[in-house]
Amino acid sequence: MKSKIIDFFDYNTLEIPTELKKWHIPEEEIQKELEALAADNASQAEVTDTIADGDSVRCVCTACGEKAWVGRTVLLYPGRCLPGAEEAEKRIVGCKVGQEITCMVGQWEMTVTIEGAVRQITSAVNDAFVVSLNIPGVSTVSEYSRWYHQQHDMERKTKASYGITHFWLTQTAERSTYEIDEEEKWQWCLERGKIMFEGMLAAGVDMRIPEEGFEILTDEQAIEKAAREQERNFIPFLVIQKLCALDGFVPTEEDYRNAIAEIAKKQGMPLEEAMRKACFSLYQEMVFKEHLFTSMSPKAMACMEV
Amino acid sequence: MTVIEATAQNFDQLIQGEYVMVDFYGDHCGACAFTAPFLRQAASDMAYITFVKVNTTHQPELAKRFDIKALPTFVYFRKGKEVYRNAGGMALETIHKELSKLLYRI
Repeated sequence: MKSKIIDFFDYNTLEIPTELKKWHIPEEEIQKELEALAADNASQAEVTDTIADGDSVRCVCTACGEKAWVGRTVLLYPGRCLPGAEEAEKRIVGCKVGQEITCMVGQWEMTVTIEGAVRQITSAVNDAFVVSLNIPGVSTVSEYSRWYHQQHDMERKTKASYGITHFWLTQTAERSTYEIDEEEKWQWCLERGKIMFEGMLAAGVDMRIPEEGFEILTDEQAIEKAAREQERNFIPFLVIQKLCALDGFVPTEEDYRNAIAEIAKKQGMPLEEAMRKACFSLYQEMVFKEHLFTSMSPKAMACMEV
Repeated sequence: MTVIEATAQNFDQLIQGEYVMVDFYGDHCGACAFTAPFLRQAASDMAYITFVKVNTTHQPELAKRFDIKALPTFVYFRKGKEVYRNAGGMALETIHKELSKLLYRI
């Protein structure tokens, strides 16, 4: 490329913010997960006494000025304050199954008969509950916590390491200096803008229709708009390209053609058509990022809290 | 109740319920991940409503059939008939608000 990085900032000199180094799963999260599991496994019991907040109530509309409501099931959830049913939710508390009440639902006053009500019975989060989850080798709350860490620690650590890698890359892009060939940059953006415009159109999003105002854009104007949105990606692209080159990772046009051929084969599309819909710089950006996030992740992990 | 994972095979049967909310979500969608615990909470708490989720990555034919253009998209049904839809991540309060349109409008 004609555009160059003049002074390449060394991200190794950066102090990583403490927040980015954190990755440990807090015990509160595990407790919340157990509570959510208890709610998932809650049993439901028919309400035999009076209806209370937290119950789910099934009624049938027996009379209403709006005929479409008559005979329709009306569900009420006292205590949840669902818009349109606030008054009905209050009115139904203290009633019993079989009773008839008159209440406001939406904009209509109606008479409903309470056909049924259920109450959620949630298990207490304790060792007995953990046993009921049937996780091999896990029979106490503390064993569940250990198991949860085994399942999720590496995923969290990797996610945090990507956060640090992202920080290194953005800081390198911000702190380096460049000599930009404006014509090359614009052609780079335009190529991607064209692909973006066509891709969005195929997905049903027409970039010719503006977010504000009523003036429909021409194809050229919409592509130019998409190209402008790509401008912010140009310098980060130079940075990841440079870092990959320093690693000796340089994807070739042949790699690109092979990757597109593979996608075309999978989708049953002629290679020419797939090539028309693809873009070399987008492919490069994808594989550059893949390479950098994989190669820099272990280094980032070494910087994280123990 | 939990949120039921639908497939092309059981989908039509699942939406026959009186009131049904379907979450069309994707594997790598942040807004979908944000909504999931709230939807799970609503499903645990609100009996009589059928909560269904469709992984559009694994069920592309269902996404195509319902013309899903954004993730997550929520489609609401009454006895198999689509009533309306909305898109974008939601917390519990918004789920309640959207469900009230299904439950309390004609």
